[in-house]
Amino acid sequence: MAQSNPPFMSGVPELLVLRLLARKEMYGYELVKAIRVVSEESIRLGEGVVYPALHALERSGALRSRRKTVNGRARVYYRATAKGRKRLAQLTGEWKRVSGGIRAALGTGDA
Amino acid sequence: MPDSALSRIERDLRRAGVAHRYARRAALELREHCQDIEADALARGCPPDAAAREALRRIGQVEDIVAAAAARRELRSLLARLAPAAASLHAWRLRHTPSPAARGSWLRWSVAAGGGATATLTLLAAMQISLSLG
Repeated sequence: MAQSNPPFMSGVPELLVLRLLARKEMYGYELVKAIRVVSEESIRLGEGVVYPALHALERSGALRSRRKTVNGRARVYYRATAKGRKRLAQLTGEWKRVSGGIRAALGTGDA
Repeated sequence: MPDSALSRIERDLRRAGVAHRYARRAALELREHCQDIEADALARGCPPDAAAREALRRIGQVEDIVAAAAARRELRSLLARLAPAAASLHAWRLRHTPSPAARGSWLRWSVAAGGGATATLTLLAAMQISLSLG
């Protein structure tokens, strides 16, 4: 199940978490399901590791959490803060630059 | 997820230097996460024992969760953050405190030893306070 490659995947879960939580407030399980959908199941993490990532992002001020009861279930909901959106813009730029470089390299290699 | 497994996660997180409040929160949110996985599986028609197994499988290895949390500096307890500094300070004090026999200066040795000991004790007191506050 846990097919993560921490050295290569560094920053990717953070990018996805911030991207999704900048759009909508979500709780952990909802977020994991959303990651599977938006990544078309290509990114599969042990679901438990999302919580250290969420807590660390919250601690750094990128996320804010609140406990909310919906349909009788109390859950911790997370949303991106202004600082988190700034971090998202930075990570998105870095990722686009890296992926552009890899695409260019692969294109050159194929030619 | 059985309560014993959740207690183990909380205990292992704390042993790995994760602050108590984050260890507690992680255990709580993991419990809710497992309940959601099980509820979805039951709604799909899975028998209860298969739903419970699916929750355990999808949540991943406890060791991976603990390693992921321990790798996050932001989540470390004050104790875990100060321990390396206290060790370094103690090592520095041992290296730089001259012995009275070698240097022949009792006053200098006293000031250096006293200052180093005070700094170390201050750090240890801060660590103790962080432990008691959780």
